[in-house]
Amino acid sequence: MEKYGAMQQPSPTPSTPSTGFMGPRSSPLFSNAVDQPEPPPPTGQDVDRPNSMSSGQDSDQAPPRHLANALDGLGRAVRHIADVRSGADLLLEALDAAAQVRSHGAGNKKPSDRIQKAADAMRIALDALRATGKELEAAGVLNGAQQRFEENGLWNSPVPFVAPDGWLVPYAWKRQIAGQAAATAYERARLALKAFTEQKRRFFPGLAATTTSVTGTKRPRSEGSETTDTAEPSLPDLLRRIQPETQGMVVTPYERLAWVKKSNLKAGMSTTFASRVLTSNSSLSVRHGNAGTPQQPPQAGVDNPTSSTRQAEKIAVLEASIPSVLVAVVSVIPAGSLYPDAVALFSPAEAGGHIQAWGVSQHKLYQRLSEHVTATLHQLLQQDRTSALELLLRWLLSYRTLFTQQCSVCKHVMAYDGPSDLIFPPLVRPTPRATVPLTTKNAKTEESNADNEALAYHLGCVPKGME
Amino acid sequence: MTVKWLYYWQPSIGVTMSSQTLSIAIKRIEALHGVKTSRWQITASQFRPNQREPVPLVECARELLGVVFSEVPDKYYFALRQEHMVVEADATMQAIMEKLQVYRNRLTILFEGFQYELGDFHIKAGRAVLAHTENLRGIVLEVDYKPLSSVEQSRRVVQDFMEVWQKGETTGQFVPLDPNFSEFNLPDLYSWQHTALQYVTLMAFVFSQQRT
Repeated sequence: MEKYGAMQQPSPTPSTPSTGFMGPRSSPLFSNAVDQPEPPPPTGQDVDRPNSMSSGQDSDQAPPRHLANALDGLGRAVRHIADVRSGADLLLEALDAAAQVRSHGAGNKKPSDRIQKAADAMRIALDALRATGKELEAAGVLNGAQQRFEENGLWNSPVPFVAPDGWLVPYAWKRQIAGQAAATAYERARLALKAFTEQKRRFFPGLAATTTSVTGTKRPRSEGSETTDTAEPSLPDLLRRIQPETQGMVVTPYERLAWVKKSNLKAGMSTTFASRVLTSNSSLSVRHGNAGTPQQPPQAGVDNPTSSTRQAEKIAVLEASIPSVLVAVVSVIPAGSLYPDAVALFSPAEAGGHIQAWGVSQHKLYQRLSEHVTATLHQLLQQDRTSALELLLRWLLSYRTLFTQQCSVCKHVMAYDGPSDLIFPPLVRPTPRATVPLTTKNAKTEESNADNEALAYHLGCVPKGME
Repeated sequence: MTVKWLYYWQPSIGVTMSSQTLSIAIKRIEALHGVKTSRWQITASQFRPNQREPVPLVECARELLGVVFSEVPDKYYFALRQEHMVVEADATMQAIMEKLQVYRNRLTILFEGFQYELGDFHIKAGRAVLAHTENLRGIVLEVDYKPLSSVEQSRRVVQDFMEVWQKGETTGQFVPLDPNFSEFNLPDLYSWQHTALQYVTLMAFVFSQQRT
């Protein structure tokens, strides 16, 4: 029987309740909803239910009280854990004493009493901890705790939680705060203004209706044949329009929750399987709803064409994948519209929860490329908001020769990337100009596109007149 | 799996190969701020059937070329050149073969060295020695381009990288090894079987060099 050497003191700093002192994942004290299991539905549930501490609108009590309760409960849990630890120490002491007593040959009645008492004390403490844990779980304090712990522990930016109405909860990190929340706030303000304007028009017909760009989606219809886009530019129309022209690139729309589930699911899959899932076929298939991952729970009306318009409203993530070259994730806000919000590029072999439109690839090449693409996206948005997404997708298609085409200036594929020691293929493709009306100038645009596609530059080789 | 390309050192005419070459290569890598990560070792062996009887009763492969990687210690890969196959077996295969004594190990080459990280490239630089001797048979470089998994896509990338990397080297150059994956029915998506085929080809090349 080993003598238990340096007895560990219970640490004063609180450990996360979901990890416990037996290590993460293996804690038997908490039910499955909290532990991070492999099947997606419980994870999906965790992500579905908004963290009640942050979005207080859904909880019954006022947020500060709820917060105080939660903190109290966590404090109790910490104390119970300390009790369990000291109980373990007592138990080991008792066992040690028993071993010594037995070796001296004295009666072993007293040590067994001590062991019994120590075991009882620990059992009581464990029970109390379990009860506290269940309380906390019921109060919703531990939602996503395991997931957050894991996500924070790795150097990925954590997945922001998705509230049921599809909007991102603004408690997000770094780029999310900068990009997403600002975009979200802007969109909310825009929609609010639109709602107010409509109401004003309804209730105060006397006041002159303001012609702001808020009513942008309604105006092409009124202007009739001037615009060449379809009367209501919509996402499924765009995807269908792009389909025959973008050979080699597969664009798949997803609802935001479905994408989150899918990327978390892929984190558990082997990379070869993941790449096979992504690069299913080079012919284009625009599938609404989920892609063909086997374990996905079926969404309502996936294959039903009549409900496709309803599905289209929820499409928030587009995955454009060029097999064996890259995977681009574009986030569209608001869901179902044409306005791209964020874009990021990844290697086709990558898998994991960090594959989001605001995520960062593991490879320096795709990191640099993502930066460049994001900058171009913002440029396109400034030029023309409605056609930005289409232009972006067409432009991404020109990257199918990323690794095989040589730079038009230095005639090499790989070159040093400026001040760093990294070596990259030509990352710069000429940005597309706004599309001309398709009716008459079709042939010309195709020609100029073909010319443009032959051009590629390294970041350091870009001729001065371009940027 | 990410794509690896093998390069073999070809000294210029009149220059003899020595382990100086390896240190030169390593210096070049470190000049580009390559970070040394770990050791690596790959053992490639050639097996011939044990012909005790004058006529073999069972039809078997004339020659087995086996490879084991230190990164994948639980697998043993075989390439059969006549049958154009690359097969994967468990690591216990070696013990089984020794017990059965059906095939005899004729020659073994050990590739060993250090691995470096250079941005998106992982480079293994090492030397090839005949097993149980200190006989230097060659200097080997393996370039692993992390973002890609397709052989065709990465070909140009790695070629250009090597051009840039060994610009100005006069004592010799690293020559790429281009085994024909399609002949062995290996797909474009890279895997350990591709690596096994590459090292086996390299071993055969090293042997052929030895005879000249």
